[in-house]
Amino acid sequence: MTRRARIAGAIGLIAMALTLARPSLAQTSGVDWTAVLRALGGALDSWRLSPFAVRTPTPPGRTRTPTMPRTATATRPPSATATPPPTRTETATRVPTRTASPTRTATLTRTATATRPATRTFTPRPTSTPVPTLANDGQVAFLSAAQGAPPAQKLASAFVVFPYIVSSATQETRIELMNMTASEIELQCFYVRASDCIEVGFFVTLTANQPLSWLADDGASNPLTFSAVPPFDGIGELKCAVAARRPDLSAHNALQGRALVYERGSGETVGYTAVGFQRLSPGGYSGVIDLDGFTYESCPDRLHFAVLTRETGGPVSELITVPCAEDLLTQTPTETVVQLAIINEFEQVFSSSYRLKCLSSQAFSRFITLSKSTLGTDSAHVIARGVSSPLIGLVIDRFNGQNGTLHTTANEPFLEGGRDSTVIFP
Amino acid sequence: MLSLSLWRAGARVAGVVLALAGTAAAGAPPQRLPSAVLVYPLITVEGGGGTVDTRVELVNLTSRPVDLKCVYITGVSCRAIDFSVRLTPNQPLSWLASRGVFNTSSFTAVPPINASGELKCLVETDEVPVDRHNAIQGRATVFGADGQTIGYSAVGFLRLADGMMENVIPLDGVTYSQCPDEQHFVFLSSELGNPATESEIILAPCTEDLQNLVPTTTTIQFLVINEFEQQLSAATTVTCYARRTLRQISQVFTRATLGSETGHLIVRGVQSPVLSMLVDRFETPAGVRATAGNEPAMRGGRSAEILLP
Repeated sequence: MTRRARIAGAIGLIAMALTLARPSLAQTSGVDWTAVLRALGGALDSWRLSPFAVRTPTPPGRTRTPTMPRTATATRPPSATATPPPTRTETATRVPTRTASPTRTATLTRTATATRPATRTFTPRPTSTPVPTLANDGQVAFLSAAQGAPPAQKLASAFVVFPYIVSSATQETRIELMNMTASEIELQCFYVRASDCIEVGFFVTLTANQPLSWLADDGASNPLTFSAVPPFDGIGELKCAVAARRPDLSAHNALQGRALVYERGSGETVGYTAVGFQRLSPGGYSGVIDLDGFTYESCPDRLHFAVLTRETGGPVSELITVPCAEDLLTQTPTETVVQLAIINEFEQVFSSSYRLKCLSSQAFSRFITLSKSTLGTDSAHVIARGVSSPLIGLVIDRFNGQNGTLHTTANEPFLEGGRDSTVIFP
Repeated sequence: MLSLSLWRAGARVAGVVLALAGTAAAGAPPQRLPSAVLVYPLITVEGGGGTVDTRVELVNLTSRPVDLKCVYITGVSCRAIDFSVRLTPNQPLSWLASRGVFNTSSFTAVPPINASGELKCLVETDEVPVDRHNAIQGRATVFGADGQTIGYSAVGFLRLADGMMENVIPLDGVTYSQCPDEQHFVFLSSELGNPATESEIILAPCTEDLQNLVPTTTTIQFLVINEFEQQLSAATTVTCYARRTLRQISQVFTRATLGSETGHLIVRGVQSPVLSMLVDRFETPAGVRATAGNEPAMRGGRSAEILLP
């Protein structure tokens, strides 16, 4: 409370005390000071008014202050550097932030969080349910604002997902991995086949800064680094996690990868970068990958694609989606409904949905809402959101170019918001 | 139970703070997020679009209208051609670089070009909050009559501090995210034999003075690591913009020198940080030519500045 407010309060109290003492005034012509003082004392007692530091109003302030700084904290480093001192005085809000040291103390508890993996060790793995509990969260798929932070891409990561690997008589995939650090890293990887959700696991060791690539149908073998990649047949996804030997973040965030899926005969190529998740807090690798925005980055809540609409009789693009959550330990496939919001260039919104289990490849021809005749524009903005599990995905753009030549290219999504999910490796 | 949930909530908040700290502090620009500045390093039109053309795509990721200031920078002359685009809430917009676009209702007019170069688009707003700036994303597809297709996402830079957009864009890790210091690629080594591979690299300095039309010149260092962890290096100089085959830059990119099918390439600008991308060109076992865009992973950040007209 400011000094002025305190003085005003005191004046108010005196006025009230005078009012209370009015009967005595009526009896005598002078002021009955005993009655005034008694009434004033009573008022002070009942209101616990103290001329010194006012404690009572502080709690609401305290509760509120930490809430505000949360947003402010992110912006704080820039404003601190960029804002000249006057702004600082104005940002008196910062002072409470400092006063609210309890928040900081809470952060300290985070250090204790390092104990978290230990807790994990005691907990039997199957206990942590991989399928998110957000079952009803997506019922109104796009009305609520996306919460959480999406994973930042193209940075050295601790966990990478290749959502589309194909190996067949007509198609082949080259998988590329690179170690972005000057230390050797070990990776635990799993192919997950779309047809039956069965996994095939293997370990790969990358020496300092080593690049490694292999063809999915050939696999790879290197006895020197104890790396052996089995051949893969069919359509599926590949997940690789850095099995760090040290708990520090730099030992985890070391990996990047990409894949080239091409038609052997026509040369149609889909080249894309794996979706990367950074490790955010130090700790050991346990095989349980908590994409919760604390241990690892969260899964993206929504995937935004800028796509070309399908022309009648023209080539058909595809939407590939895989669920973020995966329990490879108990081989429980994740199922979710995928909601699509489709916006044309005139800001008109359409929607569609489909059911996904393990991996789904949906041709644009399945959705009338993605055809040029329905949308009326060349391009569309597609927002994909998994209802009971967040998604990772990719669009394969197909269109006709000059002289009717067929063109194919990967179309990677922009990411918005974050949602928790867990991947459990055996 | 309550304390556990409180602990979890606290831990989550701390996680978010950590994540934000990771993005807000100096370092490589995180990608695929709603951004304030987009750079398309490869826009190509040849033969008026009959030989090679580029489809440019932009998308507004917010539910507010967004005004953009965009600049084509031609690779040869380093000249700037600027224009304005307005995107309604969530609106996607695409155009062929050879044709441009003209829309009187949204006051959007994109001029056609017949050149190669880069495109920069910036969110132009008088509003101060950061989220008014971080609103867009984009990609481009370069395609030719020969069947080549190169699709890639624009490099995005986030606005980090509240404030209005000005004609000086400091990519300094305080106002906007920094330029990447190192860019890491996995590339296919060049091979003349069968199947042949011949990849290209596109290089554009981050720093750009479009107001005074002063082209930035920088030396670019390449560090190449093969699958046996052996290191080789090369260097080149770039003014404004360059598109070269890896073999033109150095023999270290060939399979004969490198000794392995793939290599790890680290690109770093000396005087100015650079933005780069590879175009993978290879032959399938059936001898058919295949093409794909190869975008880099980024490490570290360095400050740069874009000065708009």
